[in-house]
Amino acid sequence: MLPERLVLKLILLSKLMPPKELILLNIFRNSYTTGDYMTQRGYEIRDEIRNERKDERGDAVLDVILLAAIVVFVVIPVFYYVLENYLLSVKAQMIRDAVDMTNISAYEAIRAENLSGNTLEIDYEKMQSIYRGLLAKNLILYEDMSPKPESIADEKVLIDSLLVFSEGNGVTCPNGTMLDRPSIHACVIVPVKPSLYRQFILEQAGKEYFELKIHVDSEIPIDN
Amino acid sequence: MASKVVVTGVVLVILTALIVFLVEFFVPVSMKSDMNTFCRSVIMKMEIEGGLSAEVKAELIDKMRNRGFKNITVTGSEYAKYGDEMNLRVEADIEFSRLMHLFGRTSVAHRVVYDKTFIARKVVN
Repeated sequence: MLPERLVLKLILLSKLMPPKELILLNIFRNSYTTGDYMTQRGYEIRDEIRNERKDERGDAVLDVILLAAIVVFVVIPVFYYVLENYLLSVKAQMIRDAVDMTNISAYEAIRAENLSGNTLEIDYEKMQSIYRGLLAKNLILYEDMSPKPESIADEKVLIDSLLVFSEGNGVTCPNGTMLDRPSIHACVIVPVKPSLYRQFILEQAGKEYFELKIHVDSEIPIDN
Repeated sequence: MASKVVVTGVVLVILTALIVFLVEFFVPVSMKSDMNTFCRSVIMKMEIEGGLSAEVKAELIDKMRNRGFKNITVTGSEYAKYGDEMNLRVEADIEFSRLMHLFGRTSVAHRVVYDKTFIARKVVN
């Protein structure tokens, strides 16, 4: 049986020196009469150190694999989710601007003789025609409202509702907005497809495209 | 222990590069969004004034240049009477330096266009 102190000394030595050098020094065989046992113990310590080193290498490999997994399954999907949402909000804002601009342009359909007064008379046919024409130009669509190649829309755009509120005093539009002034209410449905991982996202959602429902109430400037 | 430090260091460098690379995706989109806002305010002025004045045009170019746009071209209807169609077309280059690989940045340029049609509301008495 080896004294505890000796074992501790050998372990300390083996920690300080690489096992190969320990064996070369032949320190165990020549130190004591129980040489074979010591050699065996030396080999065991060497193996322990090798195993520890293997464990360390394994830890490093595990770290790299973990990082790769975190990047692939967490960082990139979260980033693309945020980016996709941001792109959608930018697209929605562009469409909202185009609809607002078109709403205000429908002002032209007000009968000119009433412009200086407080009453509103709308030529509805003219308004529809102006509205469709301008919306098609501003969203880069063909006359039938289907998208041109460089359009923000990915499918045929639908004008869900187009209404004029000539009174506009505490009236509520179909989408629930309280109107205080004469206004043009428009609700347009614009189908868009995701910009990134388009096919995968659409397959997961079970849809051909996402519908952006853009609702804009534009005040009509009368008597200004 | 030493290998762990090295691995952690390399991992941190790669992760930082990846985050920078991803965040830089937002730069052109954000600039285009700002361009839309600038142009929208110009359109509102044009609708009321019945055309694109030289001052408004210069102000728009100035704003866009300050935001980092290059090669800015602005064309717009200069005079329109009530009910006439008007147009504003703005073209510009977005140039910025972008991380293309771990230790290298490359300058990239995108051409962006804003083109809208609207109707003049100015009543000329």
